[in-house]
Amino acid sequence: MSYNLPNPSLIGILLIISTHSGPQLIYKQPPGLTKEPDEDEGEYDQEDIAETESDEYGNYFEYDEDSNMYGTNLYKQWDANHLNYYMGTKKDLISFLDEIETKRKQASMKAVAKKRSQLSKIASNPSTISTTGNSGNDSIFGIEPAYLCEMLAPPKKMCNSRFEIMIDDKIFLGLPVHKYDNGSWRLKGSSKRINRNKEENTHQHEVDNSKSKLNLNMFHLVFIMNPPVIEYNYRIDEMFHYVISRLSLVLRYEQSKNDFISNQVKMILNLKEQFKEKEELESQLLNKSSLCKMIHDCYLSISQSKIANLSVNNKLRSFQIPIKTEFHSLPESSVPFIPGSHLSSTVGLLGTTGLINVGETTRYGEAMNDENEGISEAADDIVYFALLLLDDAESIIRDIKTESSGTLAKFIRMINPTESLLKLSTRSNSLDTLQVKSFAFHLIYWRRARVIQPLSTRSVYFVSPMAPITTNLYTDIREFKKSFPTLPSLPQFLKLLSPQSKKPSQFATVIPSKDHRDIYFEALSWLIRFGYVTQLQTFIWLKISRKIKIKVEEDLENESSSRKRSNITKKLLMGGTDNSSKDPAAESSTDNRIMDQNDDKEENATKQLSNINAEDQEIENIKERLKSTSLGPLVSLEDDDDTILLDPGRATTLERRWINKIIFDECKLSSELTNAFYKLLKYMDGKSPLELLLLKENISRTEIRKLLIAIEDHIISVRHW
Amino acid sequence: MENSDGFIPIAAIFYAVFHPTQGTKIVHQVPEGSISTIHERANTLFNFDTVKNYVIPKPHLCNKLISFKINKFKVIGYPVNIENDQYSRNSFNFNFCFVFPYDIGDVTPYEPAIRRMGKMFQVLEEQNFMLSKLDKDNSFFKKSNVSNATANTNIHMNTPGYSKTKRINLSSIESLINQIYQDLNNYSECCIPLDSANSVDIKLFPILPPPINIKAFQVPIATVKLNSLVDVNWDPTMIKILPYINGLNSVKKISELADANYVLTKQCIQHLMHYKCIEIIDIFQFGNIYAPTNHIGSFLKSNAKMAEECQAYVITSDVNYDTSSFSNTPNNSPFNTLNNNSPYGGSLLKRMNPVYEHSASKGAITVKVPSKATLFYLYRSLNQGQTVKEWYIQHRKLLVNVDIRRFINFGVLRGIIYRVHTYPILNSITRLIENNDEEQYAKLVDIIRKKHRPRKKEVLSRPKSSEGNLLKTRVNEQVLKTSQGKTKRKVSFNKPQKVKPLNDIILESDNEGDSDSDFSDGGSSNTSYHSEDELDSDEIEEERDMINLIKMLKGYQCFDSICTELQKSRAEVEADIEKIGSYSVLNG
Repeated sequence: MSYNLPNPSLIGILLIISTHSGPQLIYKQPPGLTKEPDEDEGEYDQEDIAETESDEYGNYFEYDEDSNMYGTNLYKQWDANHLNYYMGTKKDLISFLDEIETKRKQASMKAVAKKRSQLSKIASNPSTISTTGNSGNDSIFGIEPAYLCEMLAPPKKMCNSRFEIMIDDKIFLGLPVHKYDNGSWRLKGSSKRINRNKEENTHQHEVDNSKSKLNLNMFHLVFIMNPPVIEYNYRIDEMFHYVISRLSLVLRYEQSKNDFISNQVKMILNLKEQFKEKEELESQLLNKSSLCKMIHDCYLSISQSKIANLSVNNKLRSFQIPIKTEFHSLPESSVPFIPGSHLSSTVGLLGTTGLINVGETTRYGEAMNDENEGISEAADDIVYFALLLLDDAESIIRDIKTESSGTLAKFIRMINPTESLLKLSTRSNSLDTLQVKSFAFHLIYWRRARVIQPLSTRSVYFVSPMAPITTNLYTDIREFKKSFPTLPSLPQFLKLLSPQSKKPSQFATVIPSKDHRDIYFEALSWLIRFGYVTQLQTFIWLKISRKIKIKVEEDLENESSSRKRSNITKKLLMGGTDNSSKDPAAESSTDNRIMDQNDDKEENATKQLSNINAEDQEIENIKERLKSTSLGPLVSLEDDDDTILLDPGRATTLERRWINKIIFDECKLSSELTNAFYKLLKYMDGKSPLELLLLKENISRTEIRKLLIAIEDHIISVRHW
Repeated sequence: MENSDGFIPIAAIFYAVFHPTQGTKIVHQVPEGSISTIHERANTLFNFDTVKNYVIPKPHLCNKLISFKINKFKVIGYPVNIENDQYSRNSFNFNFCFVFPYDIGDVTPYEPAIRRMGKMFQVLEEQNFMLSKLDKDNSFFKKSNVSNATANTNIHMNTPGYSKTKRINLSSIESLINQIYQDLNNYSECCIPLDSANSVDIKLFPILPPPINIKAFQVPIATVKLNSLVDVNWDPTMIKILPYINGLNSVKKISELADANYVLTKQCIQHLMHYKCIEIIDIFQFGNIYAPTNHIGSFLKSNAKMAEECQAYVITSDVNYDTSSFSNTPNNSPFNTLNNNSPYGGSLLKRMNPVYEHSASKGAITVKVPSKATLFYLYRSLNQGQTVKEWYIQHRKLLVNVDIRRFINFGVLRGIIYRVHTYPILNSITRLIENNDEEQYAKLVDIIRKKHRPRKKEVLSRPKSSEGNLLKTRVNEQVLKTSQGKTKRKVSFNKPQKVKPLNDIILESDNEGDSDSDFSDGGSSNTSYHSEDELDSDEIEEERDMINLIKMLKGYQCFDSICTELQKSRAEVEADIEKIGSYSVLNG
């Protein structure tokens, strides 16, 4: 589906209040809400709702012919962030390219013209809006405001919870906040009981005052939306969860503490009395009332999928619908995504933390279910990673309006994509790990930074399969040149990272000399930032070859046929060595029990063996084998060939014997390497990259290399992002 | 919570009217007692009094689809307002409301049905007071008009042939909504006659995302047996293109082979994809690059099911399987039993590879099935820097009995490997973009135009000189064939000429002139069609190709896209690009 593309579908915001004299529309944004904002906006949903009765095919063709095939094209079609770019049937490639070309030319012409007339345009802009508002009557999509108000000021029983009504294809979504019976705005929990008297006092006071004021019973910030049918639930849930509920609660807080809404409403009503002329009223409202300004800003930013930095009663609050620019898997070819999205399996680690909104990869939402284990750990692991700022440090500091000498600003300036957060926190005295983590979370959530593995010359980088080559390269070539005038051009640079006829290699091989190191790192982080490049990581599994299996089998047979106590104790000891390195004691004891049971069976088997002939013996053996293997459900490749262990960290008894065989008999690892091996064992599940091991565990690269060479025959490795 | 067809079940249905003396009230509901009408009671979905004004809103808001949320439920209805001075209040309001659980999921499939039902009853009420006259006290009508209204309906009696039609009357709304409730929840459709001419017919359809624009170079592969779906109502283009959807031909090529308009072909294929009849893969060539994705681990997981399916799908023998559909795997029962190894016992277990004995073929031919571990090893050994050709040479020993195209397609479709696309980057274009020099681009195009005319002859001979590269791939193909045995399926290359004959026959049977103009219409044509006296048009096409090539280079299209558009092999395109200037190749 197209959930990857932002589509706030917000077409307006209304503020409705209810007093003892009934409901009232206080403010609307944008001022002209008389008719459809954009005819083609919801084109494909309308045809679905209204005309399913009529021939579906006919509809599609009509639509395509009208707007795509021959007719004039919509500007939105050229915006790769917009759904229309991917939908419908486009013409053949050449004419498509031709049109993009002419659009580009027009755009560049416009840009030139714009620069000249920028000032005058700004001045003229608000007036154009209000004239459209003036042109019609006051109705909102053809409905008298008074009627609409009645609908949008629900009875008390429907208040203080999500409110949603759909009239034809417009959705009115909000969280109406109603005063409680005792006059307070917030539901008093048990914790607030202490303040009750106090509240009542102030309330009494309030009532006295409000005789001169208005008696506000309810306020309701209504968001009008027109999402495409297929995304209906998703879009309104998103809007409610991220913006409406949060903003309404903030407003309720301000109302209960400072009578913010009441005061503002009074001011707005006064202004409405004073200024009858519409245009003037609009500008006065925006200038004088902070509530109107806030609603205006909110509408502008949210409808453009931007972050809304709103000042609510002089306090800065931010709201956003998170966008999906992080992917852990490659989307199917039919799934659109925002060009320049980042692809890395580390995203999978953080996906469940709620920090980032991971992109959908399948068209029909039948996601390949990756069972995400160890979620709680993931958020802690972030300290081993580095942050990559998505903008220039200073402009981020400016944008988030933090004090430029504050700790957060200092932290932002410190961020370096080559250094892990752990390093950062050890380097600076003022920041502890917890603080670093919370800052990092903040920056990630607010689209300022991206989590990556610290850049290193030893890491391998390659051109991402999601690289926006057809969509963005044209403009990015210029940007790249601007940022790095001394480096090769963007395509040349990308070419360095896409080797011909050999496997991708370490970043070090790309850097011409030591002096170039820093600038090459900068360029690399630029490329990662814009989604061109991602890191190639190594994942390994432990492979048990047939040879090992046979040997272990032989051992087992020997042990069981000799049937000596000493043997069993020896086995127990062996289990012991195993445990000391890794496993909790409890598990080992159960393991031993299983082992004993196994032995019993085998003993039985051997008893019987003496009585029956050779053929039966073979069959019996096979049965035995089948039994023993069925103990390990994680072994999936029960071929007569190699077995690949999927999760050696939780190996069964048999698997552990295989592993031991490899360590002690096959590779004859030294004690240091054995230790390293056990550290590595956890990472041999094909899910955790070796690169993470290097970051997290205290093992040197050379040691790992030595170990990998030693056990080379028994591992299978895969490299992907 | 969903019913068998994946639709959200209806929690309740009620029929509400605006009563002249009692106001808005529920007349009937099903299940009985689900909505409390008087006092707050336990076990009800919600209190009707709270939502009264939403069920029958002001006349201005009527005759629209209106839904609202109440407690944990969503109510959808189509309130109808009819003005008529026969009514005691000069108007009659009613609404059939459907109640759904709010949080579970998507109720959009119901919306058009509810809207239509509301509209239908609106008309029926307007025509013969079908709903209002059901009230026993006739309270909806002005006292004087009661007889009038009933008289109206009797007009029908006099219409010719009326006596012959079976008289069905809407006797009770209660039984109607009850039946709608039962049928939709149980069968996702209902068909309830109201009278001789009208009935409530509802069928729920899932709403699928609209088709995505697919590209000329993408290859559709069927996931169902398309031929079995064809019926007489099918679109003629669809029927025309169907035989060419075989997992080998790109969209563009299908349109050419079927002699169908490209945009229409594309639309057909998009619709097939919309209904999940096809999936999209890429053109298989030995110059392609593939690399593992992060899902490669799932090849090992889920009880080795994927691996088993892969074994079944990629194995080749001299028996010709139908290649056209992905789902059509060779009968895998024989070696399912092998894997479970019940009948054969230990002797088989001890062999290195299971042996696949093909009973259907003439002789006793044994084909060794590569083990799962081997297949996994093969998948993981694909990487970003190696073409399939290079990879094949390296792993030839393991690839015995493996159909490489199927092997790759399986991996791509299951998402365990992905295609690394290759982009030619013309250095001069990069430079002119960097310098923001649009004029330079125009000049570049101009130069090609001029260059082209005098050097026409040379240009024509050029492709032949570049045949060297082409030859290599041919040689490789031969190697392939011999290594796989003589009767192997043909390895496919995306050269139009290979499959062209089919099309040629069609063209020749038509008159030739027409077909030519058809082709140039689509902006693409194949030089091989033209006889010598048409050299001029050849020249023009050649020139247009070059200009198109530049356009595509500037639009940063991948090789697949360019080759498909120009209908040339990659080697030819490379030679063409070289003529324009130096270029580099980018894999990503």
